[in-house]
Amino acid sequence: MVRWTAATLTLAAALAIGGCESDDPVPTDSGLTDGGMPPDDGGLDAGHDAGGDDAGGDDGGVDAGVECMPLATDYSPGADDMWPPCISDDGAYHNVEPTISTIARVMSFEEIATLLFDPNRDPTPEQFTMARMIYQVAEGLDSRVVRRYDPHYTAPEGTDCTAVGVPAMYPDYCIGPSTLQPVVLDALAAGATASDPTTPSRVHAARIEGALLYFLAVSPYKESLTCTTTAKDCDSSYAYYTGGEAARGGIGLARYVREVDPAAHDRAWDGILAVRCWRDLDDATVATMLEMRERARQQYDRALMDGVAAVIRDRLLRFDAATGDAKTYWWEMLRVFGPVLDVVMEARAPDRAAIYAAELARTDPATVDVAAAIAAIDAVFDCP
Amino acid sequence: MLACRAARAVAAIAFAQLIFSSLAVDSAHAQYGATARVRGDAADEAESASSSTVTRSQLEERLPRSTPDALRWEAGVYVQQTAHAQASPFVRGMTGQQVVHLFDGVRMNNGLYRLGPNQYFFTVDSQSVQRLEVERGSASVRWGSDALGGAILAYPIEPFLDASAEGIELHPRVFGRFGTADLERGGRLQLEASIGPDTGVLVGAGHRVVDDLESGGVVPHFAELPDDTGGALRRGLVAPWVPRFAEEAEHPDDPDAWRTQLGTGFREGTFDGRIVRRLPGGLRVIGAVYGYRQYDAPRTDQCPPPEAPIVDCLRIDEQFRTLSYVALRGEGGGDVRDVDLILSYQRHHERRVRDRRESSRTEDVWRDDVDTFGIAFRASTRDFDLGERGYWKVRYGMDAYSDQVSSSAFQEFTDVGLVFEQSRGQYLDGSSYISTGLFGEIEARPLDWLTTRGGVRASVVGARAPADPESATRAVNRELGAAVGRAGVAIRATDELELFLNVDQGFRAPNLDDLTSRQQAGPGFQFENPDLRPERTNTFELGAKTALEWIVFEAWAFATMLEDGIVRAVREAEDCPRETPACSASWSQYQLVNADQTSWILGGELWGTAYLPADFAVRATIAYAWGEGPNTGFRETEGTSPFGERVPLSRMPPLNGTVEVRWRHVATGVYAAAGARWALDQTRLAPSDLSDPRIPIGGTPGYGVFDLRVGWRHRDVARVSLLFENVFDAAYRVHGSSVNGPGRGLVLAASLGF
Repeated sequence: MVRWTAATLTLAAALAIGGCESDDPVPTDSGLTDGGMPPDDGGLDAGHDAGGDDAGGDDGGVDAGVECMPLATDYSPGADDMWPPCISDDGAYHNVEPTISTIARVMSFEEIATLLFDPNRDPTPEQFTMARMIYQVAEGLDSRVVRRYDPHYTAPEGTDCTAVGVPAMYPDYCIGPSTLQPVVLDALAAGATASDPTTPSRVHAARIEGALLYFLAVSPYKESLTCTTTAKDCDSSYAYYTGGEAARGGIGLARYVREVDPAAHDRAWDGILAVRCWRDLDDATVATMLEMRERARQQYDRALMDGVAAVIRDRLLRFDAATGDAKTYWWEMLRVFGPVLDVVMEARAPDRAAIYAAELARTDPATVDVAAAIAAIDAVFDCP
Repeated sequence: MLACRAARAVAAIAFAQLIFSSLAVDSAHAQYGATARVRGDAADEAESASSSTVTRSQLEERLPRSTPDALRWEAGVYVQQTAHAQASPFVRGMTGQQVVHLFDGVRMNNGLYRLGPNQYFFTVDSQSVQRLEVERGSASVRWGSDALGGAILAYPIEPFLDASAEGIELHPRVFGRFGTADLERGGRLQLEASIGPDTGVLVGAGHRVVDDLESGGVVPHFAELPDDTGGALRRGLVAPWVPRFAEEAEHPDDPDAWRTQLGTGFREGTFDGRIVRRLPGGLRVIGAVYGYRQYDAPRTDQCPPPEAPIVDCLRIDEQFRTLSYVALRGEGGGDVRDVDLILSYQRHHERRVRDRRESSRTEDVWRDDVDTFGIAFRASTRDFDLGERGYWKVRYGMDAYSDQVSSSAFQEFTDVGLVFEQSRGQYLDGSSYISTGLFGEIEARPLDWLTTRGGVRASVVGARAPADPESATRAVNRELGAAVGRAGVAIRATDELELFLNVDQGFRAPNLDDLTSRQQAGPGFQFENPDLRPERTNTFELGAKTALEWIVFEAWAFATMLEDGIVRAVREAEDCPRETPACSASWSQYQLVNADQTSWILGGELWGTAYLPADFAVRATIAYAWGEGPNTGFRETEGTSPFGERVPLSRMPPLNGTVEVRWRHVATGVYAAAGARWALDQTRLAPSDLSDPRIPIGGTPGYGVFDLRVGWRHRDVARVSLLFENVFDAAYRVHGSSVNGPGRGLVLAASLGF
């Protein structure tokens, strides 16, 4: 928090002194592409390939030239693999329960995105207030962000992020209450009150986008874990990524991933079906086939994190290509969202993780070595 | 406001009369276990059906925490608690809207009574209650809509009419009470006055403060859970998320230290005034007001909600109920006997707050008020001859109640000071609900050993609610009619044994809660269905009563068919009403529907008291109810949902019972008693129970709880009662409750009067 605050202040001061000219406002509707993503002022297409080829100056993309095959232990619907026949073999996701409340939260994310997530426009205070009403509806996004913990991190036995003081002790594990929720609420309040006229309101929107994407990125892994005792959490694990869309589709985070890395998105779907397959084969009230569970969860998480990395890589390119307040937007979004990869990178390649973290920790965005950050990502996330 | 003014007016009159009073002594006391009935209604009903009574003496010895809590020792009654400041009696497996509550003959059920357990009977001050009666089984002929599972009747303390009194006599009394499990401290001041031989007045006021309740510990999940589920799952595995415990913060690794339940403390105040004037010719006129004020009462399962920050809390900031009425009772002469004519006004005010200030910088507020005007008339004819030794008579009556509802909801962003009023509250502002009925019952005893009974009721219910286009809420304009009947026969097989066979019909017209409400219920978000039809029951009952010199014993078996049962049907997010995002965001969505198949509840009750030598008495009860109904939306074929076409009914009590042994030394007034309550595991769960955080994974474990009581009474002057509750410190939970039962502790109560 301290470093973010310092960086924000520095950035805000620089912008104020420099008197950056605002971009022309773009109506929200016209600012959205068919896929729902706003084009940035750098003129980049939303697709992964375009980002890699046109603006990256790097090796040409995440998967280019890499021989990427599923693991022998991975589940693939209809394939002749080591998995017994199960409910997922038709390639469709079959709900555990008839209704999935998570879908409404992802829909809320999309509504907020329409209101706020545009690097070329400063949302009005009224739009921030409307976004907050959507965010804080009972049982809505807020209720889950504030309780979100990230099982990618370990914490001592008995750690309960809902208890007072615990999130401060384990901020990475208790990512929701320690970090994401304050970022979102601070930004919503700042945007609604326009309390800092020196900061373009899109900066607040960028932080909200980053925090909510972080939330969507870690939630499937958490839900697939708690599905052990609460079977319908498998539905949430599926829906936090896809928004409940039919096979191979997706809104919310899936929309972001599919646009930049269709292969990762496809593999994430296999992972979703793997998790559902496990819970179909292991259908006791409390699951017992934990080795199978871990196989499925790791398959899903590997693909999903690869897709998330592709999104971050794409946003780094957009940041690099952008100017003015749009550049600030991308930087603020990356500073909040980017650390979601830290734990995975640290586990796979600590040296690359250090480079990546160092670039995102820079207080002056002008000094960020985008190529180094992208290279670190590419070295770690080479195959979903 | 009107209720407040009415209450103040009645209280002012009562206090004004007391100024002219002087001292006297009320010596009327019911004996332990005795049934002290005053009016004919309940007495006649008790003779022909499964019913039982809790007397004032029993209340003073058992020291219940609330009026519903006083019913724990009655067979066939199972008291569920969603919060420490709430309790909902299940009667024969039904509760809430499906059981009618009456206070001194005035119907408490109103158009906002919720489906499932509700807290409304908790608003009857147990300190002002003289006795409670439970009528099991459908009783709609007598009591109208809602009496499907049974009726619970509370009767208040009456001022003593001293025929020998001259001038004004005053009888002040002070009550005090302290409990260790929740640091309950409370008391009541009461003043009784006789104004000449024909007028009696009783006024009282009480206050109580209750802290968080200490339980016997964690009630674990019933299902066996694996150890290796990841550290993050540990809290939810070690103990159900409901309730949370204060000790978790300091001892997160040691659930054995978890005892004090969060979200259980509250405050309450009560007041009451009653004046009775004896009229020439055997009638009495009664004016009365009863007020209940509850503050800061958290809903335990939402304070905090499961998995939410521990600082989040849904609490009832204010729950006020004020009942005032004027009644004419007694013998009217001719064929208007046993008259009970009541004009009543009741106001229920509820203000709920979902406080997420600390975690989310927001707060939601709901306010719901209902004003009810009522009139009820009941009377009977004289006995007409039937043959040489027989008789027949008719009981008849009517009742009408009118509810006016106001409802609103607000959301505040506390960090920026913005407040928004929602387009609608939980209910629709300006709704109204009218319930009317006429009934007649006939009782005939053609032979010494044979009594037959029958009755009919015709009812009309009207529900009105305006539309709210912003929230896509349809207007409601419904008239619903219902006719029900009953028939029964009692055969006195021997002087000691009487057998009963009864067939009773019950009905419940959908109320405003069913037709218009949108709310977060225990299992998920529930939204309205303005097209519901009444639900109906047919109850078949077989009973036997034995009364020997040393033992009284009753046994009842029943079968209840519920037709068109109003149940929660699973809905999908896209079915949610427009502009109600809390619905689609909820874990589960439900809509009330009339079930298309019959639901069944089968069960029985046994209870008896044995009077042993040396002033010992043993009382025992046992009850069971088994319920099954149609599956209203869950699928069997997919996933892990092991449901079929028919499923268990929600929150049905397990096999349960009580045993009490009591010794009383008549000469000195000293008594001692031991009591045990027990219940077996309940693992027959409805689909909605599986997503209900109040129910541990796999079901609710059974329990046994042992109490000791000692006390002393000196005439009607002084009384001291001590309860050593849960002697073995059992960790237990009544199935469906959010609150674990009190741990080992003491409750001390004393009173002194003149």
